[in-house]
Order: sequence, then structure tokens, then C-alpha cells
Amino acid sequence: MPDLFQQQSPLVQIKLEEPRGAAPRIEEKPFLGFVNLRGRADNTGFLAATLKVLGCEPPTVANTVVDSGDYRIYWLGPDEWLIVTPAGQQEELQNALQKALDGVFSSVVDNSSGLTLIHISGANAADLLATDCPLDLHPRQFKHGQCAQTRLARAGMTLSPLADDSGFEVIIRRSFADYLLLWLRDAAIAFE
Amino acid sequence: MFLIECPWCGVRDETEFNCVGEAHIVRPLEPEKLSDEEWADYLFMRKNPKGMHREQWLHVAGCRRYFNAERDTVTYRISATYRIGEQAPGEAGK
Repeated sequence: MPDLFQQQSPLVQIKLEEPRGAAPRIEEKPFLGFVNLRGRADNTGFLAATLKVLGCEPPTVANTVVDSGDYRIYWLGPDEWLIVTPAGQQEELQNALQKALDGVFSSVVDNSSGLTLIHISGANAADLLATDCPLDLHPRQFKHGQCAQTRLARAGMTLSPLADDSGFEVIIRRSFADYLLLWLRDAAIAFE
Repeated sequence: MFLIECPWCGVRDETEFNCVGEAHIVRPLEPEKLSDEEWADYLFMRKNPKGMHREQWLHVAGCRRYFNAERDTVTYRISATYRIGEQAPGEAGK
């Protein structure tokens, strides 16, 4: 009997080839965990509980990312964060957060099936994204440790530069993944 | 490219924002005591000034927070943006 619950990447139908010429490398990091966390950053109970589970407090500076062990915590709003976990750890994290935040005004939602993460790396990564992204991607303006929610080819994305300006981490909705990857593959032809 | 300053995210492109109408509309505390006319006025009647106007905007493709903006409807110049709950510029001390 086929395994009905086998997880499938949203990009299972798209073949990503080796980059040609100076085209950036595009690769999916499938099946990561995405946990959406909401709560008041001025609530000490909330901060203490998240510190206990995550190993650090969620970043309160707008548009920044914090790494803590296996977790990567994105600022999404003044009371909203996205925690990216290694594959399969989302449920454990969600349960731990919910337990620690019992009685605290907050919300923890597992959004792992709704999002996927891709890496765009190479010398022309910023130029490829800039083909249809309104944000200034120059490392002077947007560097490692920062993140931004903006648009790519009119679809929403959460963007964060990788270390050493080597490229970008892009979190996109699963339902847009197909469209965005086809668009990126097409836009990359200009750099071949 | 038209740029708008989100009070949380900083300067971003206008395509990331939605305008969601007049700002600083206070919901009546006791709606049941209002006449139909007063209630309809609260629900439907909006200012449509030629010139400076205070509006609510939503950073829909960014942090998804509502904020207020002071915009000139003639020139489209946005003279200030400020967070919900903050006083409008020039209103301090009033």
C-alpha cells in the first residue's frame, strides 16, 4: 500500500538544473519546520517563556534575524515572529512553546506545510532578485542579520541575506512556490 | 518609484502598501443611544478633503501593521507617518 502521508516538496515537479554561466544557484531546502509565534514583546512573562524554550528572546529590532542553536528566528512584526526549525522538529517546538506559554497572552501556530525555503546564491543573486523586487538589496542597505518581508514578482516573500553576502534565503508560500521557481528560472536566463 | 515610510519597517515601495481610509474615527461608546442618522454618519460618512488628510495605511506586503499617514490629496506628498495610538504630528499638547 502506498504511503499516503509521505511528504512531498511543493517543487517536486520543477527540475532545478546546475546554474549555467554566471546565473545564480537556486536550491530548495525542503521540509523545514516553520512555527509562527505571536505575543507581546513588553510582556516579561512572554519573554521569559520564549527565552527558556528558544535559548534567546525573540528579536525586537524590526526586520532582524537571530540564530539560536538549531532555530532561526525572524522578526515579522512588533508582536510576531517566525521560527525556522530543522526538518521534523516543529511539533516538538510547538508543544514546548505552548506548554511554556500556558496562561500567557500568545499564539503558537505550526505553518510548516504552508511555507518553503529556497537559497539563491552566487555573485548575481541580488541582481536576479532585483529583477522584480522593490527592496534595495545592496549589502550596504541589507546585510546578514537583517530580514524583510516584501514582494518578489508580485508574490510575498520573507528575505534574508546569507553570511558573507553569498546569497539570500527566501521563504515563500507553498502555493506560490511553483510560480516563483518558474519565474526565477526564467529570470536567471539573463545571467547565463 | 513612490516611497512610503512604514513606522516599523522604514522606507518601502508603495506597492507594499494599501490605503484603508480615513484615520482617527472613534467608535461611539454607546451605539444603542445613537439615532439611525448618527450611526449611519459614523459608519458611512467620510471626509474627502482637497489637501491635507489623515489616513490609515496597511503595510500589507511587509509587517502587516496598520499605521496612520498625513497625506496631501492634491500633491500626494506624505508629510508624516506614525503608529496607531500615537498622536498625529502637530496634535501634541492639544
